[in-house]
Amino acid sequence: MNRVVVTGLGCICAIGHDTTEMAAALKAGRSAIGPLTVTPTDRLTVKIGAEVAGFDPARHFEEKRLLLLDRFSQFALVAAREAVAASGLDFRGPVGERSAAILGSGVGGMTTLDESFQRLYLENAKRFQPFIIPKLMISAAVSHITMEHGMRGPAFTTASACASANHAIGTAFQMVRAGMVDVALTGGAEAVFTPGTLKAWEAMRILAPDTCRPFAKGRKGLVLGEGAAVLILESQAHAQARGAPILGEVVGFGMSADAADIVLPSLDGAVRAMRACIADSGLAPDAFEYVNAHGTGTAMNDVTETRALHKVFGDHARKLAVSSTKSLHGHALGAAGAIEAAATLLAMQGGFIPPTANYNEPDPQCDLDYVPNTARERHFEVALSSSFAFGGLNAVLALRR
Amino acid sequence: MTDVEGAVLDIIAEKAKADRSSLTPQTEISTLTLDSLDIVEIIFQIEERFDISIPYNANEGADAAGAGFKTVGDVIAMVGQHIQGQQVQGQQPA
Repeated sequence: MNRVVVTGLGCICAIGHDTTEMAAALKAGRSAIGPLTVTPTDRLTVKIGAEVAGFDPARHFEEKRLLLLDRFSQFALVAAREAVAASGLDFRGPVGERSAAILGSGVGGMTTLDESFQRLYLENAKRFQPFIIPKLMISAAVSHITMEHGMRGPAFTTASACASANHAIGTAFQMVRAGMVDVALTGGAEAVFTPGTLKAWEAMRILAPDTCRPFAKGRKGLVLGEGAAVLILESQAHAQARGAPILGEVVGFGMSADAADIVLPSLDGAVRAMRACIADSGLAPDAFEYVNAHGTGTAMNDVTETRALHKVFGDHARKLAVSSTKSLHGHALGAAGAIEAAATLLAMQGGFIPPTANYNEPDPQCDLDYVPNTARERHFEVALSSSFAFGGLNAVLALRR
Repeated sequence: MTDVEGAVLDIIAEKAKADRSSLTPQTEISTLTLDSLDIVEIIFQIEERFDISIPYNANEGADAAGAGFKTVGDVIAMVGQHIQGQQVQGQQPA
């Protein structure tokens, strides 16, 4: 079996339009949660989010091409460009046939869907633009990536709500490890700041009205985010043969289904996914130093996840540094796992642990080291990055320096 | 029985799959078979029925007690307050 290394990284999210900006924000513990400006909020109760502020699509794409690109595809393409450039790979050559492209997304082209339906129902539009369907389909982003870079191997999109990106990265990891492909471009993309989507989120009564404070007492729920992150995974042999930069290694992947409730998290499901991941990595639990938690900031998730960490790691749980970077970049749903894997790899390289922001008061039910508010200077070698999705679909990655 | 009381009892009885005649304002919510999803659904239906907005966040309590109501009567009282609040607001000059 191949060892699987990371040779490229790209990101665009609320805390940075590229990985350099993102690394700086992670280290500074700078949260990008604030008033929403990319969509009208006059009919919303919750008016905050973690948006990709100042994003100008025209700077990245020609006007004609933008007709085909939903906001989530735009993010995916921008992140993919950065990752591909960093890897130094040119997929137009023979490597393009031995490369997979696997992206996760929760809902795909919601911006396009919402705008089109508004036109139909509110403005009584008689017809749509011709290419609404290929613009909104959940696999549009990965299709555009394959076309832009000439990637001609296996390509598809995974959907498992908030675990979509981790399922994508894990599947890509397994394909490279098994030798099915030499390279895999993977990650996730999401853009849900539309009036219809936000109204639907609001109705669930789990959005925080002020900010996201994971694991802290008085937390009031999650704050939505948007963006994309892309990782280039490559077999170690392939990467070494071409002298590629090595930014980290994916060493394990574990999945599970709660088979319990469509929204409530389950202790058992989270425990089994983390245990499966650790077993897959072949590492001892006490080798893990950092956990980039799912940490949504909801009352239920953070308690359940804390209990799961205790159960999986035993006494070692108290020695773990656990943080939720969702407090900085929001909950980017189907992109979350990718943004968080990128955050973990950037922190690993930078020799620091990113903090849990907005942590103002400990919750007795959440009793681990959550790296409150300030990043910690610390070199670490091994980390977990967890996603526990609505619908009880869980996916956990193990990453090594 | 007021309109509000009747409507709230209807909604809760339906969600809890309880006999409507067994519910009184004194019935404790915790004795009914309601999960957190049911509570969110009940609040939605009450909002729709009376055209009011109830600022309920599920994170501030996974059960009804966390939402500030212990009994069916508390829910009825809360709805009454919101209806009254909205009427007062409506009377203010624009």
